[in-house]
Amino acid sequence: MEREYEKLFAQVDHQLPSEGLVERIVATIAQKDKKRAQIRFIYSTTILAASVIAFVPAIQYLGSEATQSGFFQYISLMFSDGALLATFWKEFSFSLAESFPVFGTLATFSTGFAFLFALRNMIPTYIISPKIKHQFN
Amino acid sequence: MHTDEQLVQAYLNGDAEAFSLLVERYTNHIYNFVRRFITQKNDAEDITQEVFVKVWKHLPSFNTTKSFKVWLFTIAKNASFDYARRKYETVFSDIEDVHDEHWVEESIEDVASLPTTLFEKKEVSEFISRALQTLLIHERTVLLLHYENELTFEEIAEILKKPMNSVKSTHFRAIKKLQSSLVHQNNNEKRIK
Repeated sequence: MEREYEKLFAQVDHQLPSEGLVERIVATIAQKDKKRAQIRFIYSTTILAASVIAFVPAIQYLGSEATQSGFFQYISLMFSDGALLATFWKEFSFSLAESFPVFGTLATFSTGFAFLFALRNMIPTYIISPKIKHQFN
Repeated sequence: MHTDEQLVQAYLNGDAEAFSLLVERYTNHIYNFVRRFITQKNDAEDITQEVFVKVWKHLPSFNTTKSFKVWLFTIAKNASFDYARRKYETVFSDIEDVHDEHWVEESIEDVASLPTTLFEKKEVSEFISRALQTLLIHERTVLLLHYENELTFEEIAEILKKPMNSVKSTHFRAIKKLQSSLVHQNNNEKRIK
């Protein structure tokens, strides 16, 4: 019985679209793809510029935070007096951890990551993947 | 000849041409499917385009272990139903299938055979198209997906998000209605002659 209906449906005339619908669809998608790339470029450029601008104060803040907390002194002590470090390693570790410039490091790394993320978005995909063929563009 | 899955993978790896091949492969199928619900040619073409734009937008999040064809027809079905709901609100009130909960085990073998003379008619295509219009939207969908687009009941169940038994039951009801409509048209024609 199922065969009978398969045979029956095989006789149904298929409705065909106007000529050029495929090309129209591909062109519409290409246009949208281009627009998406433009938007991505604009926001990536903005992030890139913002991260470059923010990187300088972030580094300055990291430096002042590290100086104020005595982090640099602990670091220099680590290299200058190994014997003292070996004796009081536990206390030294606590002091080093306590003086670690958390916010400065976070700020610096955030701007760094934002820069890399924006850069990654700006590089066209065909540079990252050599297999690319951009027929849409 | 690349499979759908290979083309999807190629597109996701950056080969834009692979997507054009998918569009080329399925445009006529999708248009034909959409056209069974939407009578206006231009509207059906717009919806076909909308389907492929949606596919393109969501392809990066598509689960490549699943069937692309099933996913594509799911999008086409949703787009057609949404359009139909907006345009012909009352006529398409049968979109929500009320019989779902009450499916019974029925077999297509229980349906009487079609008159053999029907197959020899020149107007058979017109007969079927007319008969399809008398079916509920879900019944029509099941028949079109199964017979015109060669999808299994399991795949149709996935598209309609319904249990497979419910789909089989809908199929049985649709066939019964189609059969009676075709016989009726056949007899009417004989009477006129």
